[in-house]
Amino acid sequence: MGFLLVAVGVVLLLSGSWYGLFVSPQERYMGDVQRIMYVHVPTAWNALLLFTFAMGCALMSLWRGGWGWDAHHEALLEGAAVLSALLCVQGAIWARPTWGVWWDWDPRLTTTAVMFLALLGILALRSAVDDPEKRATWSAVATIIAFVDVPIVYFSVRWWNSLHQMQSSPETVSAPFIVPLRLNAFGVLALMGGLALLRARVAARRTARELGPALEPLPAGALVEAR
Amino acid sequence: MSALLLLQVEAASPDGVVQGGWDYVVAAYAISAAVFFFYAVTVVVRLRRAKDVQ
Amino acid sequence: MNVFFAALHKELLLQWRTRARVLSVVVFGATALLLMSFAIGPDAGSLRQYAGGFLWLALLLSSTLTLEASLEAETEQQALEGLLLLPVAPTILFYSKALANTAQLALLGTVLVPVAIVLYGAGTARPLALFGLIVLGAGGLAAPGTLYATMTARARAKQTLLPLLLFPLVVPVLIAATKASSLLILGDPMRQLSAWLTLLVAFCGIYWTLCGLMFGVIVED
Repeated sequence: MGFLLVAVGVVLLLSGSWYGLFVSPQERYMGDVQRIMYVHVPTAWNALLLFTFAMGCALMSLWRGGWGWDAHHEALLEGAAVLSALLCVQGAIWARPTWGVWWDWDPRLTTTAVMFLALLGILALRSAVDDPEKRATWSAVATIIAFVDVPIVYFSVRWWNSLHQMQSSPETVSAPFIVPLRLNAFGVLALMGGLALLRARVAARRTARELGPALEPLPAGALVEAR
Repeated sequence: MSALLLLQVEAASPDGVVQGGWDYVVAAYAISAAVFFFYAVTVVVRLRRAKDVQ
Repeated sequence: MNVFFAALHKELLLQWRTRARVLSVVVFGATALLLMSFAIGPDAGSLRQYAGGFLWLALLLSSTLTLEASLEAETEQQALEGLLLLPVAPTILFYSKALANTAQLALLGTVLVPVAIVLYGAGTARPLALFGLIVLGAGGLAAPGTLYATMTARARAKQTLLPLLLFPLVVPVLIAATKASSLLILGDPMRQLSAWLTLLVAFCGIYWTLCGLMFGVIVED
């Protein structure tokens, strides 16, 4: 399932990027630089989406329990961290030709940076706690708290920055602009979703090892030999 | 060449359209592809390793 | 309610008994405040302009020390586990601890204000408003700070872990408190102060509720 999704994601991303780079016409105001948006916007959507999924897994892990939720929580946190780091880099590359600076204290870019650091913090917390049960509970709590924080950070940075003019995003409404956006959005989703499923398997195996052989089903031959 | 392109970009044409900038587009796609590729590699490597341990 | 006051009394007593450490945190904060000026240069005008930000950065840096210390006593002899055996709701333990930490941070902030006045000429015509702001900001730092310190006190690498978790989270507090204190120091012709105070109150409201709910989850195991 994981590998299949990754393959689908790669195909979608390749076709979407090809369309965005070579088929879509130049945007009216942004020219060719607009083509960055076809990879930037899907990354942004999916960073938030993966964080939201991670939040869902954190809630389920607290409410229902179960190591599956915890493993997927860890995987999705890591995926969201990768995407938000990539998002900051893409944002800087977009900011340079359009606004003339690498970094702008734009609410979206700043919030992404804060979100990236918050995700790194939660991942660091996970790696610093040895007891699997405490790790699951504590990191789930940290994810919920960080998730609530993201909109507050966004609005506070927006107010803080309100003396500057808000940068307008180029309009992307007509079909040639939407096709690559959609292809890449589902491409990133499939790719990162597939990788998250595979990454969750890694986490689940590690947890099983930490919990010891108690969780492992006894091999069928063992009982017979003991007799 | 890239410095020339940079100059072109910063001096946007009179009608306000950002000119050129392919360098940035290529950089954005290349970095994204590299990040996706290397993250995928690390996940697969860790998965292999987790299987070996068991 | 009596239980709450007993818990609060215990927290404040604990802080009073470790007052030598509080003093060293004050010295740390004052030193940080002094060092900030070297990043700007000796221009009195710009130093005064950034004084609000320096004050909050110094307080934020010091807060990790006090928060860590307030939980250290609980983990040293597994005192927290002992407390949880008492018929006291964990929520009460959290609020007493967070309130004591707020008091300590507010005290620290209040002590740092004269330092900022001497170093940066950061006096204000509305000292009571500044005090209220410091209490609000301290509350915004203390609620998530207490919750995270409870986790990190029992984890590896706690010294780096607490700031790593806390600093991104309190960005709104830092922004709002810095803006509001700059307005108090430099004057507020556009009457923007109340907007920033509202943001702080909202942040405090959300996190005092959320962290109170979550504290029970993280300690019961």
